[in-house]
Amino acid sequence: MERVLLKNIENPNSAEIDEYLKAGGYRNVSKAFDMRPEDIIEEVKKSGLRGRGGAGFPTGMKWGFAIADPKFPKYLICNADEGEPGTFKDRPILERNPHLLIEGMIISAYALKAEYGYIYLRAEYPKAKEILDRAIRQAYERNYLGENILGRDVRFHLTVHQGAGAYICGEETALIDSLEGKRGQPRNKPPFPVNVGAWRMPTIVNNVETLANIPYIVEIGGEAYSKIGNPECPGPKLYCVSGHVNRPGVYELPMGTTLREIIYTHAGGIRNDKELKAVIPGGVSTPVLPASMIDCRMDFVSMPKAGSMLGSAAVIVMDETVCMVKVMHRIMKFFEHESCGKCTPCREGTGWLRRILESIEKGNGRPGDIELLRDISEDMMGKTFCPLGDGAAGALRGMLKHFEYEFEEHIAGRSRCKGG
Amino acid sequence: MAKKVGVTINGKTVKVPEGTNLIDAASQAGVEIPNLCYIKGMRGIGACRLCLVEIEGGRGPVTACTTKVKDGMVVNTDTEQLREMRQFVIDLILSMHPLDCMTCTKAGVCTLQRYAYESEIKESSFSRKKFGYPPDESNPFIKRDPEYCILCARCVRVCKEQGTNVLDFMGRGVGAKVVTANDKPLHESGCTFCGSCIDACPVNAILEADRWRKGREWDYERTHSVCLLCGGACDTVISTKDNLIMKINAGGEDGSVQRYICAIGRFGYDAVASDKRVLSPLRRVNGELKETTWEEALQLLSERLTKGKASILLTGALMNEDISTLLKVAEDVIKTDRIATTVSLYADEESMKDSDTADIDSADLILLVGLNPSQWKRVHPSLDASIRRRLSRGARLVSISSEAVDIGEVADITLRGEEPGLIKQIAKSMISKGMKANKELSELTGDTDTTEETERVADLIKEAERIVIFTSPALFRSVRNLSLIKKMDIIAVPNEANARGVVLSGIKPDGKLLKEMIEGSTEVLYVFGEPPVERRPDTGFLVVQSPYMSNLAREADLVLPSTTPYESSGSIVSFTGRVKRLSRALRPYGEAKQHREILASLAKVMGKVIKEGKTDIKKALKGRSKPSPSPFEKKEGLEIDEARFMEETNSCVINSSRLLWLREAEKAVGV
Amino acid sequence: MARGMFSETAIKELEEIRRRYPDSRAALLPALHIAQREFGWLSDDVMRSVARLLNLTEAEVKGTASFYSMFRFRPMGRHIIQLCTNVSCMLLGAERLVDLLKDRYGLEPGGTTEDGRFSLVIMECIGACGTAPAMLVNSDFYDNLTEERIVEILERYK
Repeated sequence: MERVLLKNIENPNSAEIDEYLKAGGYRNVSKAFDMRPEDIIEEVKKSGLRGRGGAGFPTGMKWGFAIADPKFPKYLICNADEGEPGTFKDRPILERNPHLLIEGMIISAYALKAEYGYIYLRAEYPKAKEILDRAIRQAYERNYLGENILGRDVRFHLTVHQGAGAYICGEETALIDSLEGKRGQPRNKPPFPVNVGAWRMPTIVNNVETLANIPYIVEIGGEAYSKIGNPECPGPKLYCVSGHVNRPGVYELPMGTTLREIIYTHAGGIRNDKELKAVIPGGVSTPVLPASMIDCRMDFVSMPKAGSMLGSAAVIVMDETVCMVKVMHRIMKFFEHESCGKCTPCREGTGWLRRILESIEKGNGRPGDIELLRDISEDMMGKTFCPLGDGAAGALRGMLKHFEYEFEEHIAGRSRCKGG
Repeated sequence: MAKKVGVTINGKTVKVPEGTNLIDAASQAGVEIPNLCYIKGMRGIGACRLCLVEIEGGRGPVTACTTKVKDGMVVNTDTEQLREMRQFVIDLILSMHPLDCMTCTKAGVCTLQRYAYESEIKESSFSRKKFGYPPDESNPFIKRDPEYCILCARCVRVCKEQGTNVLDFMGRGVGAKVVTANDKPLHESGCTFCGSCIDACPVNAILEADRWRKGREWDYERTHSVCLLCGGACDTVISTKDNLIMKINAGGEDGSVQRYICAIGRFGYDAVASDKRVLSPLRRVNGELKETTWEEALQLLSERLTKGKASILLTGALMNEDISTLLKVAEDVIKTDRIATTVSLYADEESMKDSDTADIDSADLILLVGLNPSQWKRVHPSLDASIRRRLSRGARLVSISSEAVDIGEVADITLRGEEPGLIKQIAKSMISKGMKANKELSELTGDTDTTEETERVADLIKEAERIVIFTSPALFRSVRNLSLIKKMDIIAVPNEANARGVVLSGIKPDGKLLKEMIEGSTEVLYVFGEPPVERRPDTGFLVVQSPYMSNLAREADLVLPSTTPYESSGSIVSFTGRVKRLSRALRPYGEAKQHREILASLAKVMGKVIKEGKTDIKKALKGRSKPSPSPFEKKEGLEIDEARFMEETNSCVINSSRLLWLREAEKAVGV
Repeated sequence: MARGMFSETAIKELEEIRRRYPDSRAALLPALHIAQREFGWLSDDVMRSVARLLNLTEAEVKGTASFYSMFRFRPMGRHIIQLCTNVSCMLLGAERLVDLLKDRYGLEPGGTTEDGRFSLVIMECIGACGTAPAMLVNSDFYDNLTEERIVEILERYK
C-alpha cells in the first residue's frame, strides 16, 4: 500500500515546507478551495473515515452536526494529546510530517467554516511543539494560513496550545476546558462540543491522524478512499507496536490488518525467540487478548467481537516472561494517577483497585480479593462520568477474563514472581 | 411559561415543565433521588453518581441531575441494580470519611449519614484512607475540616456562583482538596464570611466554628424569620436551644438566588445575649440611668407626654404591626402628627410607595442605577450576591452610575456619568429602536443625543423578556420613565429592611421634620430603634425604645427595652415588594417587650384602650400610582454614605458580637 | 498588563499569545508554561503575578495549575529527569533504571539529589513506546535507554 500518513518521513528534512511542497504537498488545499464546503463534507462522509482517537465516531457525521449549527465563530481543534499508554502513532506526523496535519486542518476548517484552529499538544512532546511552531510559521509565510489564503476569501489562524500533563485532557470536553484555561475535567454531554464547545461555540475536535487523512480524501475522493482496508471502517491506519517485538514502531497498514500480521510480518515477531503471551491491542484502556486470539482484525468493527477494542491501535506485545498481575497493577496506578476526581466511582474506585492489586502483587493478597476486584469493576463499568473509569474497569475485567489463574497463584503464594 | 410534559417515575405520572431535570421532576412525584452534588437551581454536574436512574428503553443508567425530562419518559429510580450501585458509591465515599457519627456535630442532618443508613452500610468495605489535612480554625465563624470533605464541589460552586470565588479545588483525583488560594486561612483570602458554604456542605467539612458540643440539629427548634439589619431583608432560619440562638442559616428555597445572608445576618446574633442589651426600663436619676419598673417608667412617660408636645422618630426597621399601633397611639393618645423616620435620609415617599414587586430569580436583564452594592463592603450585600448569581445563570447586567461600581467588573455594559442624563439617552435609544413612547415622553427626551453605548443598552432591553431595574431612590422618578416605553419592574433600593412598610403604612418620609428633631429643639422626643444619631438632640425629654444600649440611649432620660427581631413577630415589606413574616424565635430577654405591647401599655396608662392597629399592607402595596412622564432629574438631599449608615444603625450588633473580630481582621489585611 | 516579576520578553510573548484566544483565561496554561520556564517552578508569588497579568483570582490560577502534573510547586534540581515507567517502558526494564538512579545518585521518584543537580519525576507515558524505555532530561528526549546509556547521558548534565 502506498503510504499516505507517513509519506516521505525518511527524508531528514521532511518537516520543512519546501520538502513537503516538493512532494506535492498543499496542492489539495487549492483543490479543496475549488470545491464547495458542503461537497467536501459529503466526500468525507462517503469516505467512511472514522475518528482515529479511539472512539471511532464517523468524522463526516460529526462535521455534519457542526455545520448544521448556525452559531459562529466555529472552532477546529486538533487533539494531539496522545496520552493513552502505548500510543505513539501521532508523533511521527507531528514531528516528521507536520505540514500534512496543517494541510488537513486548513481543508477541514474551510469545509467547516472555522476561522480559528488550535492544536492541543501534550506537553510531553516538547520537540513536536518546536517543529509545529516552525511549520505553522512557514505556512503563514507562504499564505497557507492567515488572511485571504491563496488569494481566496478564506481565513484560518492556527495555534499550538500545550497541555501540561493530564491524560484526561484527551477526552474532548476535558480538552476544551483545558484549552479555556481551566481544570481539564470532562463536561456533561449533551450538549456536545459540535454545538456548545470551546467558548460555548460549535467546536470540532478531531484526532491528529484523522485530520491527516483529509488531504488524501480530497485528492482521491471519498469513493476511492472507502475501498482501502475494511470497507466497514476504511482507510489507512497507523498501528504502533511496542513491547517484546523485534521491530517495534509505527506501521501504516490498511485498516483491518490482523494482529498476527502486525506482530509477526511487520514488527518482526517476538524478541529473543520467546513465546507470545498476550497483547494489549489498543492502549492500556482496551482489554488484553491472549496469544490464541491474535487472528482478529484490528479495526473498529472486528475488535469488539473479540472482546476488546481498536482504541488508539497501540499494540503492546508481551512475551511469556511477563507477570500479568504486575502489568495490571501498573495500569491501575496509571488510572488512579490520571483520574480527574470529579466523579466518585472513578476517583475512589481506581484507588481501591490499585490498592488491592498492589497487595496481591506484593504477595499479601487475600482470598476474596478477586471477587472484590470483579465487584468493583462491575460497579464502575458504565457508571462513571466519562470513559476513563470504563477504561480502568474494562482493562481489569479483560485481565481477569483471560488470566485469572495468575491472580489466584499470586494470592495462593504459588507464583514464581512473588514480590513483584 | 414552559410547556408541560408527562413523565412517569416509579409508576407515578406527573406533569412538569419542559426542561426540568429528573431530580426535580421526581421530587414533584414525591420520589427522592439520592444525591450529594446537586444544588437545586444550578445545573447538575453528574459528579457523585448517586442519582443514577434507569430510563425505560435507554441504554444504561443515567444521572438524573443532568437528564432532562422528555414527554412520555418512564423512569425507575429504585431497582435492584441501582440500589447496589448506590451502595457501592456510598461505600467508596465512606472509605474517605471519618466514621465518628457519635460525636459529629452534623449527625442527624448529614446527607452521607442518611444514605449510609438507608443503604445499611455500617462501615466501609475498604479500610479508611487518611489524608491528615489540618482543619482551618483560624476564624470565629467558619471551620473547614478537609478530613470530612467528600469532594462534592457544592461549596466551591456556590462560592463561585455568587461571585466571591474564594474556594477552588487543588490537585487532582483522589488527592484533590478544597482550598483557598495558596491554602491560606479564610480571612486572608478575600472571604466575606457569608457562610453560604456552610449551608451548601452536606457533611461536616464546613461548619459554624462554634458548634462543638453546642447540641445537634435534633436538639434545636427552627424558626423561619427575616433579618432586619439592612435593606436586604433576607430570609433566615434561626435555630435555638434553651432560649439561646445556636445558629442562623439562610432561608429561602434551596437553589434560589435569594438564598444568601451576609456575615452580619448570620453571626450578629451574639449581641442578643450580650451586655449591650437593655433588659429593664431605665430612668435618669441624678444624672445616671437607673433600673425602674415598667409601671413607673410608663407613668413617667405618660406625664411627660401630657405636658409637652411629642415628636416621634422611628427607624425603617420597625415591623408593620408596630408601626400601625404607633400611628394609632400617636393620633388617639399622644395626639401628635410629628412623626419622622430615618427612611427620609435616603428615600422619598414616591420611590417607596410606587416601586414594583419584582422577582430577581426570573430576570434576564438587570439594570443597576446609581447603586454600588458590594458583599465585601456589606452595602446591599444580598443584592450583590443575587445579581452575581443571576448572571452566573445567564442574565445580563447593565450598570449606570456616576461613581465606579464594584459589580461593574461583571456587567455586560457599564455606563459611567450623571445618571439622569444617561437614563434619558437610554430612553431616547429605546424610542429610536422602535419601542413606543407617548408624545410627552418623546418630547422630554428630544433634546438629547444617544451614544453607541446607550444604543447597546437599548438593544439589550429590546431583546430581554423580564427586566428588573434596581435604582437608588433619588433616581426612581427618572428611571420610571423607561417603564413607559417597555414593560419592566423598577425597584428603589432602601437601606433599611422595612422602609417600604413604613411608607406604605402612611408615614411620609419628611427630611425637614427629621432634621428639625435632630438638629432643632423639641419638647419630648420619643425614639424607636437605633437611628444613626450619635448625640442627644436638644430636647426637653428623650425617650429611647430599643433593645440595645446605643449611644443615643445612653444619653436618654428614659430607656424602654424593646425586643430584638429574634424575640419578635410581625411582618415587613421587603425592597422587592414581598410581605415577609417573622416568627418569634426566642422568648424576650429580661423585661423586653415588643414595641406594640409597650405602646398598648402606655395607652392604657394614659387612659385609652388600644387594640393592635391594622394597616392593610397588601392593599397598600397594590395601590401604586401609575407612572407618568417625569423630568430626568436626580432628587436632591437623599445621598448618604451607605456603608456608614449600615455601621451606625447596627453598631450595637457589630460591636457586641464576633463581628468585631471580622472588622479587626479586615483592617489588618486592608479590605 | 501588570508586569509583576516577569521579564520584558516574557511579557511580550504572553501579550502575543493572549491575542490568539477569545479571552484571557485561555492564556493561563501558556502563561504558566512561560512562568515555569522563567523561574523553574511556580511559587505562590509567581502564580500571583500570573493571576494579575490575566485578571484572574489566585484561587483560579492555583486550582487550575495544580490539576496538571507537569507544573512544579517547589524548587527543583538544575536538571529534571522525566522517566517513563508505564507498561511499554516497564516491559523493557524501566524499573531497573529507577533503581539505578536511586543507587547511583540517591535519587528517589519525586526527589532531588542533595547537590541540587537532578530531580526525578516518574512519567505516565511520553509516547516513546517503540523505543522504550525513554526519558526527557529538561526538554531533551532520550530513548532506547539501558543502564549504561542513562549514566552516560546524565554525565552530560552538570
